[in-house]
Amino acid sequence: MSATPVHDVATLEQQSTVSRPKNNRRLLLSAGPAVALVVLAVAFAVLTPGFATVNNARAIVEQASIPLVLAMGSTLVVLLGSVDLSVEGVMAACGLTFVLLASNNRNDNDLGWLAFVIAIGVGAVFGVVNGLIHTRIRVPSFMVTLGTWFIGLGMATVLFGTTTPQLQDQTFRAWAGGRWLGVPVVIVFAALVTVGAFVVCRYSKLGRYTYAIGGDEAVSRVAGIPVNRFKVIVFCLAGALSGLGGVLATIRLGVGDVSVGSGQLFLTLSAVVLGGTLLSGGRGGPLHTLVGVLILVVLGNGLLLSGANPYVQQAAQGLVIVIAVIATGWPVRDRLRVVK
Amino acid sequence: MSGLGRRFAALAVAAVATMSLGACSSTNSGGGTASGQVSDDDMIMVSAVRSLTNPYEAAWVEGSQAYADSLGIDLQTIVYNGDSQSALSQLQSVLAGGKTVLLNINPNTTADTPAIVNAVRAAGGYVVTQWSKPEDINPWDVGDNWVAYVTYNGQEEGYDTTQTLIDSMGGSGGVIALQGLLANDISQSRFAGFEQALGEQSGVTLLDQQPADFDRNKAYTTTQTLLNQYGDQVTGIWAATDSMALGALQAVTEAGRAGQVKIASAADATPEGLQAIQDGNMVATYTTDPYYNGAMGLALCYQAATGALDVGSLPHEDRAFYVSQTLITADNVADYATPPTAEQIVDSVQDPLGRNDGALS
Amino acid sequence: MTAPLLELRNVTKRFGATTALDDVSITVHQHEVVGLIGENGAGKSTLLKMLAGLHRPDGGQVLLSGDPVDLGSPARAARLGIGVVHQEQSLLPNLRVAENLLLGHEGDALRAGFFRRKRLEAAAAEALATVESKVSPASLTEDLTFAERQMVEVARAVASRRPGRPPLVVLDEPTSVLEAEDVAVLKRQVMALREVGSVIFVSHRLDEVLDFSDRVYVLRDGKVVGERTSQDATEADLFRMMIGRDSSAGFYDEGRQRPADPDAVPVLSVKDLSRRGQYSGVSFDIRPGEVLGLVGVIGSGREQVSRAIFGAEPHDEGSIVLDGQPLRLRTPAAAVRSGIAYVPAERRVEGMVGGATVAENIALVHPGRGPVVLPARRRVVAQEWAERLDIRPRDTAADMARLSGGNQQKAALARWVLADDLRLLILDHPTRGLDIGAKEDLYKLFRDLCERGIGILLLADTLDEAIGMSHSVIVMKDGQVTARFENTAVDGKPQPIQLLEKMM
Repeated sequence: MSATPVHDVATLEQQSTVSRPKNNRRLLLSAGPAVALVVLAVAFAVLTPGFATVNNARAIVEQASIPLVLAMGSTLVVLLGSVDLSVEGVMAACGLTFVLLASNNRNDNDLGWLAFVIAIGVGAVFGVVNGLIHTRIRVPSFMVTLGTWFIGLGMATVLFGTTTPQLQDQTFRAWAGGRWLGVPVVIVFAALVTVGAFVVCRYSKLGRYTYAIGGDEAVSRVAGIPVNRFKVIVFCLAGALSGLGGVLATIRLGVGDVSVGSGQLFLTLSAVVLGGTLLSGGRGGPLHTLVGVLILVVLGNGLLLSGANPYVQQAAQGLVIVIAVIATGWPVRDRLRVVK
Repeated sequence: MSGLGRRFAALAVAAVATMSLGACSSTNSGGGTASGQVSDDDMIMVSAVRSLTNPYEAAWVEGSQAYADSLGIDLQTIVYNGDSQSALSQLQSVLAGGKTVLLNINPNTTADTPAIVNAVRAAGGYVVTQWSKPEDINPWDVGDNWVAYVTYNGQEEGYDTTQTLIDSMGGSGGVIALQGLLANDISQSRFAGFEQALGEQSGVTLLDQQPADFDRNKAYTTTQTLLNQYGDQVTGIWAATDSMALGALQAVTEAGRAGQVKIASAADATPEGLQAIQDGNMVATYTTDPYYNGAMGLALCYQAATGALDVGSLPHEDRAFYVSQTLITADNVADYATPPTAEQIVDSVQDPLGRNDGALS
Repeated sequence: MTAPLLELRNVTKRFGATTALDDVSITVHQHEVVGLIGENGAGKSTLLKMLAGLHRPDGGQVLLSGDPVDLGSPARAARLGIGVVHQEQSLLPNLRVAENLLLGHEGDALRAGFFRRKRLEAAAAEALATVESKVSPASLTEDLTFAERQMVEVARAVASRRPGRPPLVVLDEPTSVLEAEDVAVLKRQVMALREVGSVIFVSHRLDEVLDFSDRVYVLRDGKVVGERTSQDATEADLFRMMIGRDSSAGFYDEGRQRPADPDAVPVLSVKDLSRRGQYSGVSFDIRPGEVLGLVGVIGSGREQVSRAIFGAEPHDEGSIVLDGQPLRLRTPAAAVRSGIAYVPAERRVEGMVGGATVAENIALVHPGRGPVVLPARRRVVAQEWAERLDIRPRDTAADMARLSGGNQQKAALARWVLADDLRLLILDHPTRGLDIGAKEDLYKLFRDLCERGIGILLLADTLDEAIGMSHSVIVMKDGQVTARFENTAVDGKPQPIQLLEKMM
């Protein structure tokens, strides 16, 4: 065979023109949501008095805190190419576990910090169960976690009993609205979790393997990565973070409440996707999610302050999310068109 | 138990399969006496609620239980978790059990009522529905098996609690209102009462009103945002339920303005809400007496089933009516701090029409 | 004499009823490059996957340096010093080059679960240097060209060697996407590897196999049918052993190339087709039974033109006329309804549904008349095509992903060709990565189609292929048509150099 391959004559110059559009696309994918956030914030600052104030900024960050804690766990799972729908159930189960183990008006428990740790441990166990069922029995993650969502709610309902358990541990009660070194406690937790997730994703074996598995699970397996083990670890972390979110929300309410997480799944998943983390896995990350959460919180806050009719607000919120998702996906639209 | 009663019961059960309605209503209109048509042994009581994690409904079920225990009749609790389909299918399995069902239900949505009352009627049971029904259907249109529809005057709750709130604010200042779900008619009628009370004076002005979906978290974040926007202008917060009022209280406390901002809830009288009133953090809530609600519906059904109450001859104002309720403030909160005993609950429903507060307006 | 580095003794592997490897014995000595050839489906891929630790043999023994070993998992195979460069790309596009290179065996670049980036990149740079690749370890893998990625893969196989045992590097079709210059680099690298360990080299190009290897094994139908030292073998010998018959003359089946009727209504008539920034003013006609070759380098716009005709990409101006009917195709579905078929180059991405059976893939586009797909009919049709195209294994219920590359391509083709109303077939590198036998089968099939009066637009894999197959050749450069060679069946074929001049 002495055929001359056509590609022999492709020059380096031409190769570089092939790779450049990809760079632009990636830039748009990561910068797009950030630009959207800035545009949104500027628009509200101009149109809505009371938006651009220090107090309101603090309120926005505080309101973003618990969703951030939850969304970081969700981000890791989505990076794997899986999804964790059990957030609300795990929050409820962990929140009630926490209240009933700490000093409360229902029983004589008073475990203090141990209650905090155990409650998060319950979340981690939920995550491990998710991960094990998903990897060992090979059930799609959305089915498994849909199931554990309701197991969590059921467990919380049983724990709830018939009267609302109130948190009486003064140390924890002081966290609600309290400050550490001048920073509200929930913000401290949110910041630690966000920075932690960033460092893990960027520098740790766990994080990089998560990207690898999300990029191509089969290839990762061939490379010798123990894929199942890492999946279980990631689900475990996500469960623990849902647990932490549930405990923090419970502390803020001061009571155990089965519906403590209601609405959080939609908020966190749409924040993850809005931020530019692809549901197919392997792309995106904690910083994207940070932007996504802020977009949603700013949107809710700004619309509320704008004094718009509440009926219109809900529709506007949905509309902006749809537009943002389309805008995020626009750069890859052309490619999608020819893929299949 | 008389032999006659048993025979009647056997007859009734047999009739269910063929012509239940005819059998029951004809004997009914024949003028039931103290002997009754259905014996206690052949009855089962059913209390159907949305969830047990809601303090109001948990207390309702306790009331039902106390009443059923006092008669030695089994009580089955149906919890349908906000799912109309689940409510109906669970009900149908109980109806299929063959006993005469006495049902006290808080339907999931207005639209569920016809299906529920028809299912009970077809099985020869008795039902009292509470809180919501379609306007164009009334118990007397359906027959004696739908004993009564009872509800609570939301406008009155909204009006009275707003009055208390305005008084506590010294008759001046700015107020924020937190509604429940916008599409919910109870929430709307409470808000109508709020607006009515506000309209009758000029010292207190409405700064903003937002829906918080009966959700404590949402009430918290909404209040936090509005406190930032209006700052010290806010001196009062009115919420359609205790849980939203408590969410608002948390935001107010975190803003360091506990005590300066008065908070009133229009309904529920939850233990936490009552505690907040005792502590001076809230100024008002309203109680429909959930224990009474849970027992009274069953008591009406029981009396209809035994013939103690001749449903067919009751006037319309005893078939669809408001139940009286009580405003709770710091003055009377102590009376409600401890739950009633089982005897007190049973006593309160000896005359199940005793708290009839008038026909629906 | 020391024990051979690798020895396979009577290894057998079955998948269901198919015997992929039948009593195979192979020896690789230290400091030796061993070539492995065979047609698609001969068992090469299975053998390589076994060495990579992905499949376990059902019978026989694997010995490394004389010790029996169990290559139970990819990690274990890597630990034992076997590095495999797979035919399909196995780099993760979303990771950095350095991460890809050391994935799974980071060594001291990891401390307490965290990467030491400097160390990681230094180790990666070292590995890249051994294959003379100038790629930066910090760049994102998806930004690399195909050839650059291939070199990274080779570097990865080398980097996975462990001290204590000489490395065994397995290269599966490493040259199929490389340019001549890169092939030379690879050759130097393979020779350097021979100094420290051994190499198993798999390729379709018999000349390259002879050039690279010291010794060559030939596989056919899962058996070793021959072993030759390179000095004593010729390409013709190897071909005969591989196919089981002599190489037929007229590789492109030129004898059956009939001149197209110049008066016939063109199957396809393209006029002034343009898309901003991609190509402009492209015009050509394809008459019934004619093959038109479109040649050009990457970026010449020929792929975009072919995709525009299929409706997979938009165009700004110009007309596309099919059988005299003007056409404005917005979707591939509309193109299929109009009688246009498209066989893409990257079959793994676009041309097949992995996980579905061969029969399902074949029947995918034209499931038959009416809305109901009868499984029985599907099987009959699929079976017929499997035989006609010599798809192996003949089992149409097999998972498409199980098939070797050539057989996947045949099945992907069969799917389109099934259509009775097929008018135009667009072939985008239809024979890329296929062995000679498979190519010959495909060329025959194309001629069959021409005899049915179907027009073919060919984006050939090589210039020889374009020239050999086509009635007309159109050369594109920077989005413009720079040359036309028409009626070549009568007027004589152009020389490759004539085309090259117009391409550059």
